[in-house]
Amino acid sequence: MAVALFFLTLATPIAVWQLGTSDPYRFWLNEDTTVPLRVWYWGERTAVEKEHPQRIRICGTPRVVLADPSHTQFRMAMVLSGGGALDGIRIRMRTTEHDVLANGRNGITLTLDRTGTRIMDGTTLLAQTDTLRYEPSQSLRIAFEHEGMETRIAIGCSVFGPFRTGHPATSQTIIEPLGSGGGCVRISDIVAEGVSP
Amino acid sequence: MTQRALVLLALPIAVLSLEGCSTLSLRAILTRTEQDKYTITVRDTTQQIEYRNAPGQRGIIYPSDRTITATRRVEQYDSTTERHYPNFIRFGVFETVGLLATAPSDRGVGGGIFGIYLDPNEAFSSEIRPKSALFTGSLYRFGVLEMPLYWFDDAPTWSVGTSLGEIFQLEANNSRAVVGVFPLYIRKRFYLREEIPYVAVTAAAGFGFLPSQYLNLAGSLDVGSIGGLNIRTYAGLLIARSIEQQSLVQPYLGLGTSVLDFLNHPRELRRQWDDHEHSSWNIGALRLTPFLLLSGAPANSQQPSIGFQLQVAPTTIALPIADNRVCAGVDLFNVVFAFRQQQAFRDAVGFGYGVLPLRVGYWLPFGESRLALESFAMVSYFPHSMWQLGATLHVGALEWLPVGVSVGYISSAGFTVNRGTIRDVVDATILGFDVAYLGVSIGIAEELFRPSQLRYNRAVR
Repeated sequence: MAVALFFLTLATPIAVWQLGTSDPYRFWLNEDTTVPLRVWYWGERTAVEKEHPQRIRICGTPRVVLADPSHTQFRMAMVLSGGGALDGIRIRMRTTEHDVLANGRNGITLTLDRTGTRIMDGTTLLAQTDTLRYEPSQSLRIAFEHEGMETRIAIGCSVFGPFRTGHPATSQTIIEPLGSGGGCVRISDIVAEGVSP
Repeated sequence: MTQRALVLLALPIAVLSLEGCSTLSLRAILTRTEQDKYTITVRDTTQQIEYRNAPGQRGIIYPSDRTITATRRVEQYDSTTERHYPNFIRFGVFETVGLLATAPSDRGVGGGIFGIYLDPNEAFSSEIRPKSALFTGSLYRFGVLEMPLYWFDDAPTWSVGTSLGEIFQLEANNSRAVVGVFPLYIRKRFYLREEIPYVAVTAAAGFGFLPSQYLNLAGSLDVGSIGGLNIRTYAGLLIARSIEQQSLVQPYLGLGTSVLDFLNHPRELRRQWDDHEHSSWNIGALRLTPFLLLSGAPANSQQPSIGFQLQVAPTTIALPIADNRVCAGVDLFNVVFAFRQQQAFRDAVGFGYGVLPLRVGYWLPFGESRLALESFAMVSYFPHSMWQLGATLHVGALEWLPVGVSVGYISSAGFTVNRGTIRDVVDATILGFDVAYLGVSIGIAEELFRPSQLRYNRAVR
């Protein structure tokens, strides 16, 4: 009994530490691969659910950050499939969550909604089309690549860019569902690989 | 009991010291570090044009031989930005609570309203004599740590925590003393006021395993923290087996305070340390001021007449008056050793100490530098009267180790101790004194804050 109490006493600070730092708002995707992706978000705890090592489900409009901790120049691909309550999705690249919130640096922004697709560099429109739209229940593959000063974006079979930009390459990709908050989007087959060491 | 408790507290301190060598250092425990990585790419093309004119005088247009060398260069710079966030809900160094109705009124500890106003004959001592007191018991906590508890789908304001140790001294007799090392606490706060200083009702369940086994169910009304200071009222039920293996079920009421005890609202865990709001001009663990007596040394005192002042947990809170320069402060303890006087049979010392002495003053910062002039009046009311007028020029030259020059006047009425730790340490007759001094102050683990860091002067993001 005394031994058990002794170990309970010693285990308490460790348990407190483990519980206190096991932030459910942070988790990993592709953790068994050579390019694991760190995910974090703010908002409702249940807004983001990890369904699979390569798949998450986002409900509502939280800001979800995917980060490749070991690369800033990488290519990433994912498949989006959202519900009817969602108006679209916005992906911010070449910026960080802190830069967006604190400094208003939006980087390169890809907005895909029911009216079309817009790619912006800050306030400068880089590309726009109304033939590629967000359509509920339609899976859409999005890929992008950051190398040096250039970013290429592929949506379905359409390729945009390369866009030359002055924004530094960062390890983060920020995903923001658009809408009034009632919709969900599933992002699957999320993969990344570095293009430069 | 106190000695035994101190030995028991040595265990967690030793464990934490060992852990401090690893990644679980105090900084790592209290701070979460985030990294943003960037790669900046710069492309540059240099064109070098070389003309080689043909020799000789030529009066007609003649094609020149020109060589263009274009050099393209791509440079990439990687940079990493680190941001630091608090990792804890509560981190406190010391909490003391005076407990009501934990024993018959004639068997009390006599620690007073906050449980820390102990008879100088018994302060820091292992022997406490029963005495008639309203606050019959005391509760002490050391090294409190609370971290967020993400359960029930992150139901807000839950926390899980522990402390290096806690002592329930329910009465003067040690037979009902309950001591816990690394007790496990789960708390839920209901915030009544979400601005600093926070006001919250806290429900807590605590489990102690060694050396006493106990369950502590408590509710408290908490005010704070502001400058690391807190006031708490407690109502609780302690179900325990004491250190002398006596079973007890003890309801209690209490009124407590704590120093160097910092509370973060959950939303503050997402705010960088640099952006945090501060309410104080300075907070520190210790401040030592060795001084030279300018006057008041007795004729036969040791020469040169050097004394010292030791302030434990000095805190100076800025008040929103006169550009926040009017300030009020408190120390946990304030110890003054003024002089030592040689006498035939037994030496005498000019010695005084105060428990939770109060200070008011005027803090004059010099711009945004870590340089400030503090003029203050301090009143100590327990265990004896002592007052001080002084001025200190603080210089934050080193991080966490500010120094200063202090000048002032201290008057102490003196007091008598016949036994106990203070008598053993002082080992002389204690005299009252009136001295003027000039000293050098050294703040240990002390932080001076700039005007722009005060919450009154900054917009919260």
